[in-house]
Amino acid sequence: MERRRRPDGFAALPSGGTPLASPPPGPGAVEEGSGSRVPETAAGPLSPFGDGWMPKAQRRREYVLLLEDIRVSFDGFSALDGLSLYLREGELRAVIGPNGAGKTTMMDVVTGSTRPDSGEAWYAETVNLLEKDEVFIAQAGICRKFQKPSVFGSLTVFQNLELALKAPKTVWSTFRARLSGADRDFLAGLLELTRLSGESGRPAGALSHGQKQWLEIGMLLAQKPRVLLLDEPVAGMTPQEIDRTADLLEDLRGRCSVVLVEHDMEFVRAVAGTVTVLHQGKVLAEGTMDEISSDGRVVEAYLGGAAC
Amino acid sequence: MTGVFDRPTRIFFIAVALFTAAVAAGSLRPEGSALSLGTLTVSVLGKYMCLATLAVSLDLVWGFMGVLSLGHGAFFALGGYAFGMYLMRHIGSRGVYTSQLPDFMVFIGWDRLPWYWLGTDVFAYAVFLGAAAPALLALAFGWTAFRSRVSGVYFSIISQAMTYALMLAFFLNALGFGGNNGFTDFKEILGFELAARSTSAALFIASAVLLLAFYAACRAVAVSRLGLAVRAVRDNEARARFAGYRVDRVKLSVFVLSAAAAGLAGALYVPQAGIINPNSFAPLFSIEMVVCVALGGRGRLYGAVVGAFLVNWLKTALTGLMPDAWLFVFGLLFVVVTVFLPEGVAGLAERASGLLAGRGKGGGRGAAAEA
Repeated sequence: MERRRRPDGFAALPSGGTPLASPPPGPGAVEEGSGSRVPETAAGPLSPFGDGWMPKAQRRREYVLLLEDIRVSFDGFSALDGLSLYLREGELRAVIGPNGAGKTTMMDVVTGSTRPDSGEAWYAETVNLLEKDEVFIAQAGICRKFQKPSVFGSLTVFQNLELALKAPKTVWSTFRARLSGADRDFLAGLLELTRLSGESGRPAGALSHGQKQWLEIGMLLAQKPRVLLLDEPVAGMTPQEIDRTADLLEDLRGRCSVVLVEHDMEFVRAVAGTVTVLHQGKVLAEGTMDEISSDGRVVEAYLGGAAC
Repeated sequence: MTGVFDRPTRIFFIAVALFTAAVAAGSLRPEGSALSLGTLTVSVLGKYMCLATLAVSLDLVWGFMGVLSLGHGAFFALGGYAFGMYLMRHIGSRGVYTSQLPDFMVFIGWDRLPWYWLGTDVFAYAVFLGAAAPALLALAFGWTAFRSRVSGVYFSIISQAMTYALMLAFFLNALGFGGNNGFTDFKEILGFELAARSTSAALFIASAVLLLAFYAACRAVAVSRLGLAVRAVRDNEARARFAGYRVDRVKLSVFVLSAAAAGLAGALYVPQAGIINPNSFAPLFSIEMVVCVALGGRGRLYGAVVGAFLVNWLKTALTGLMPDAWLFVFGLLFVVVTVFLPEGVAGLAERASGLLAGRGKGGGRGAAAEA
């Protein structure tokens, strides 16, 4: 497959209608010279795609999560302004950007907390995220970690995980639910993975900040997610904890797709293959960490180059 | 995970059973002999049992789920009115106007029963209505509130407004529930004279059985995964939603269960109190129940029972001695509990027994949540 390098440092352009077989960063681009009806924006012709690039249905098959031309405004303030994002199965994608770039709003759209004014959001080929609510989306396998560690403080660590466990979650089936041996093994494995085996019986409220972050990640994994949305998972962690979190994400590679919103650039560099830079509600750049950190516009967006 | 009948629950059940047996025995001893209890005393204790059930139902939604209802008295009163209809029908022609219609209907010139009184002379239907009417109200109210994510203090305020609105409605003669006089002057239940000693003993035992049955149901919920979900909703509603739980339905189910139990308690309360009137819908009554739960120690179930007995015993004692003092004492109690006893009497007892057992800081919230 032909790939071209654009002068501004984007990796890029899968051409023609061929399905993408190349590694990410696949999609942050558009075919040139095909006469597609793509409006040129200041940030470049990132989105939306012309229909000539890949048929819609195929795009949905190709990506586990896709956002196209999402627009959200709050009282006239445009939080997302034509955002498009394409995530492959098993991919770890970092999303960075200055405060107010729209990172959290993007997650809100994906999880059903915010309804965009326009645009499309598809998950697992068939799920139109814009028609579903938070609970449906969570049950379908898009699991979200909040910026502030949020666990159930009065429940024990084990109970937190048990509650998150993927299972029918109607009121009645929750009342009838019993842990099977396999469930217990699975949860024990998660305790191991999140290094909380020793804390299993402690109230989650008594954990350290880093441990709460880990527990929350463990709870997401208990839901057996297909897409993980992590909002600043290493905020407030010690360097050792950050290293462990990086190991954990490494473990997850290939098992589920991860969207990582993070300010810690060291961490992003350590874990992420592709980095998407948001700025003023749209994608400013997409590429490897090296590529985007040498991108003049990214540096400018961060004012003083906090990204570098 | 502990079973439904863990140690505190077993102790509680044995205590209630012994107390019930003692009261029943006392009420059946010939009058004037040692340890004999009059119908009045037995009825008062039976009323406490019903109020304790109401307190437990409130604890289920407040202590476990973190939803503070300041209108739980409405469910109790509604259940009371539902069963009161049965009692009114069975006065028969023994009323002042010697009509088959309840006196108040004759008084306001009605010549037949309104449609919603149909079938209320059937005991089983009246009992069913005692649970179903409040459950239906809770369903409508809770569905509206939880679905639009009304929570915290806003929920408390509108729940209070609900009971206040119902109070005003029940004051209306045209509603067909006796206006400001409500229902009274009951004669019999299932063919037994209400004034008879054996009847009051039976009603007392029924009240105790209802308390224990509902208590066991609450325990069954508490130890199930649904119980975890309920506490999760209290701790962090958004997280529970993102963990895949329909928070509004969890809340609604528990709220409706709680309202049904409160209604049954009200249904048993009315024959023992001998009267039900719109004052049962007064916000003050609901607030009293909240104080009962807080004083006893919320989130424990048995704490609510202890609180209900303490507060209502105090109320009975004080209104007998100095009727005007009760409101002041009540207000003081509220302040004292809020400031000095956030964990209630049960929390205090747990901490004391924890200290005695040398477990030190083992008590408090964590232990409470485990209970």
